[in-house]
Amino acid sequence: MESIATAVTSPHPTRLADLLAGGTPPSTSPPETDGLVTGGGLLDLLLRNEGALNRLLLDGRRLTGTLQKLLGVAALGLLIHGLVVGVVAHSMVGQRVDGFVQGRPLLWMPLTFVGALIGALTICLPSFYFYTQLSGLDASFRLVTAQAVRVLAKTSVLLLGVAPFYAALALSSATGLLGDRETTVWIGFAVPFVVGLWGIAALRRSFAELVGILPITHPRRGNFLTRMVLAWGAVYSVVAPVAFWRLGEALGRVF
Amino acid sequence: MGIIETALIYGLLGAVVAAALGLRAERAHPFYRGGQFLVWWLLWPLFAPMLLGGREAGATSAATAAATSAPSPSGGGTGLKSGLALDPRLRAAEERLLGALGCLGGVTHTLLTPEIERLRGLSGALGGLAKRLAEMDALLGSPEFDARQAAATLEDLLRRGQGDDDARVESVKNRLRNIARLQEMHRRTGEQLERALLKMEEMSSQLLLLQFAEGPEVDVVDRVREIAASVEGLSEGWLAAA
Repeated sequence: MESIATAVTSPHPTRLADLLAGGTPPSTSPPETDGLVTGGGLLDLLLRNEGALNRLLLDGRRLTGTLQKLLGVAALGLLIHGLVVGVVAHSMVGQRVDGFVQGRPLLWMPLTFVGALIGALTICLPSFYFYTQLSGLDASFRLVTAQAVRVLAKTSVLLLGVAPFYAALALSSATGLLGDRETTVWIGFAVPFVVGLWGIAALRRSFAELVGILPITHPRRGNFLTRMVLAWGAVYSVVAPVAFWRLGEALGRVF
Repeated sequence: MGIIETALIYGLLGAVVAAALGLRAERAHPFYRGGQFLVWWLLWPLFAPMLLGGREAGATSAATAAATSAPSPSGGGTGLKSGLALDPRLRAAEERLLGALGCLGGVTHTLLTPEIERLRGLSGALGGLAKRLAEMDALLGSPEFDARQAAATLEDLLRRGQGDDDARVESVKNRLRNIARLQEMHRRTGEQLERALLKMEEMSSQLLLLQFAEGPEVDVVDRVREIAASVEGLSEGWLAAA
């Protein structure tokens, strides 16, 4: 009897907390993104490591921070592109282009690009979520939001790459070598939407990877992913130009 | 409703969302926090979804993270969502292992794709084991399984001259035996779990090493098959134990 008492009163065997808290817990973040969620790291993920970015967006604990950084990248690219287009438009002040170019485009054009394209995104979010659900993918609203901002960020990064070419085109039109400034300004308005097609393609690739992970609410046949992504693009392509036009008009009167 | 009223309502809602996010956010420099607050306030429709579902909601397991490297060309999917283990270290080990699987490409990844499914099952089993361990822990902390108190009671009974044939002594002894059994089960379950954790960490390191494997692919494939076999063996053992 004494042996039983002695045996059972010996120190507890390993308790759960001790066992499972032992040692330095390894990082729970995806290996590729450990320490990479800085601005520069995010640019790398957007351009070259979409798989790692998918994993980052799936990490709800860090999503708010990731979203902030994506928005920062998106705003930067749009700001710079808007600045370049604004410089061209500024040289046309006094020449009314369908009543659009007025005021100080150098000031309001960058704000318009950022405000309109991000604002259009917020307007379209419920539609994006709806189309995603219709396609059978049970993505959370936060994931849909993150994906939408990701597309804009990718587009902005590509716009940064296109900016020198557009600047060269603007210089050529200013000197009369290639086209006229009015056409150049309209091209500047259209470039984000053309470049946005690459962002849409990235969205499709991302959802193609996520299809095996996200719950399926109802099975779909055929190329439902492409249709879903095209629906995203279509609704945004309708809303964004209108937002751009109205905001540009309003800010043109203010500045 | 004019622009002013719209802006007012937008601003009010934005302030609410920004405040909620600020309360959830980690401590930061006031300047940085002020900038964040401004961004949250201005762009609250984008940040409002982050408030939904709680702090940890939306975090998916490493199984989902690792599986993002295996796109489904047809667009169809199994819709599986693996469950998270109950504790951070198990979850981390699972993440690392499945992340390591995801790092492999080509033939080696194809060979190990079935193991991803097995590992999902394994994570569920390990989660069950961890839960059992936690329940045993809780029981061992309860008054009924207080070994010291039972031993003290037995000592007291014996000191008062009660013999082994006394019903009270018998009862306390049975209780002590039950406590001993539970402690033994707790020890064995803890060992199983620790073995599983360490094995998963070992397999992660082996898989990560494969990325740098030199030599003919047939050798890499053979090593991958060995790892797959060990995953199969482990998962069968633990699934049986769970």
